[in-house]
Amino acid sequence: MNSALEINNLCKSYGSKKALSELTVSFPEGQVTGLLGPNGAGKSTLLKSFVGLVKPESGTIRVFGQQLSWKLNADISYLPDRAKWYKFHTVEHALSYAHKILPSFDLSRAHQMIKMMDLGLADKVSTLSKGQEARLHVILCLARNVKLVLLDEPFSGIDLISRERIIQSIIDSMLDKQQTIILSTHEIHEAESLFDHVVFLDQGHLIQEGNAEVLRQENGSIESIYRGLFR
Amino acid sequence: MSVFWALVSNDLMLKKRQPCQFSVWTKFYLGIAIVIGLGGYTWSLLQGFIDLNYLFSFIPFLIIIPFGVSLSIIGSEWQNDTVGWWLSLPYSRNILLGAKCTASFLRFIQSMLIILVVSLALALEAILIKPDLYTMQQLFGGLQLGILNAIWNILISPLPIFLGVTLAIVKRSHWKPASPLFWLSFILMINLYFNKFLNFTTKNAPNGYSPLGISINVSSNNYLVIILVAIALSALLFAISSYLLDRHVEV
Repeated sequence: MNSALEINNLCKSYGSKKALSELTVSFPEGQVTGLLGPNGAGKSTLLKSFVGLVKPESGTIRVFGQQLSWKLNADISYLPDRAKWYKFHTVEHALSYAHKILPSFDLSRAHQMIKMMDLGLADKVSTLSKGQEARLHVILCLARNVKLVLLDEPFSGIDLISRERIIQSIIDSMLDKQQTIILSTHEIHEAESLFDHVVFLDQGHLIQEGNAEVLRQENGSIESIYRGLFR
Repeated sequence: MSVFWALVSNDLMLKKRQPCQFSVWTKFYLGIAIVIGLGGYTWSLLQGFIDLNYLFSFIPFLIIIPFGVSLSIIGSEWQNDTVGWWLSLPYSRNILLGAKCTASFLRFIQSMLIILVVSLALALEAILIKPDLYTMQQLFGGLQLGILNAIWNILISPLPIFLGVTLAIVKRSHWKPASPLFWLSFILMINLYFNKFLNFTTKNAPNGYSPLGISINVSSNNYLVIILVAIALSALLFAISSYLLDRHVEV
């Protein structure tokens, strides 16, 4: 299987704290990879480095065989951790703005997802609940016809129904088009069924990785592997 | 609409609060402040304390506005937690910053127009209330000075805009320790400008009150040189901030 992303000896520190320590890992193309690990494992730093928001001190990142640059972000849809959208937009304005500035943004698909996610087009972003805004963020990412989707904690702090809707939209998205999705989350139990591949990080190191189905057969569930690794 | 103008249009909305977004109390206190301000102004007119030139002569000081506007437009991406979206857009840092600078410039032109219109309305009120003291001739004189100063401000505004952008980026980059140096250069530039090019005069008002008169003191030979220097410095600051945003800003 081809790799969508190849990371070699990646190092990144914040002061004396090493966020990524000579990390070498690859992410298979066309699959959903769960990027798992406790807080401070380096998951967000790794995802940010794929879109240039973090500059590693050493090592290489290749996305579909190419070196990183802002141009490459046209093929990457990235949902930042703890992100917020522009408060003065309505949901409709957010979609229309995304359509103008995000390459390959499928406006009609976004409108379908808005209905499915039970959001109102006229609602102002400033009046949306945390769960509703999270759903909007996921729509802004998944309505793009890009090769790589990076979702950093899309379920963080949101209710069960919103989580289920987001998971359903990811499943739909995978069925619709051939995308590589990397999903960082602590909600392993709910997201587990999405994973084709899993990468476990701890303190910037790769702890374990592999095909999710093989790992499940060997160890039960991804959640139980997580407990075994980090308890 | 091109991507650039979509970004500009969005940046124009950043930090802008519509009056309908104000709370009832904010509207109430704002209303009180306007009534007190207008009352005080009208009383001063009746006492003959106001010189119409004074209404327009403060405009050279407004060159500070574009600096503050660009500083806040850049900073709002961080304050609103939208910076991750903004910086992961697949466009060059020149385009992202250029849109912010253009939005700051348009916002400054809008501010200058509003200030000129408000000053004009206040001057017209003076003529209506005290026609014996305040004349249309004074108003035209003041307005002419105000418009010239506003145009001059607009012409050299790229420099404070790019300075604001650079300071906002330096503050959030690996170059943060150098931030005081940039602030110091800004303070020096402002001091140089105010001392060298602004001419402070006192005039005798009708009742002997002496308000401050300010005009821009640049000889015609120097206009072009100053504009060219402002453009060159702006280009340098733009290149620095674009480089920093590309290589030295992390989110």
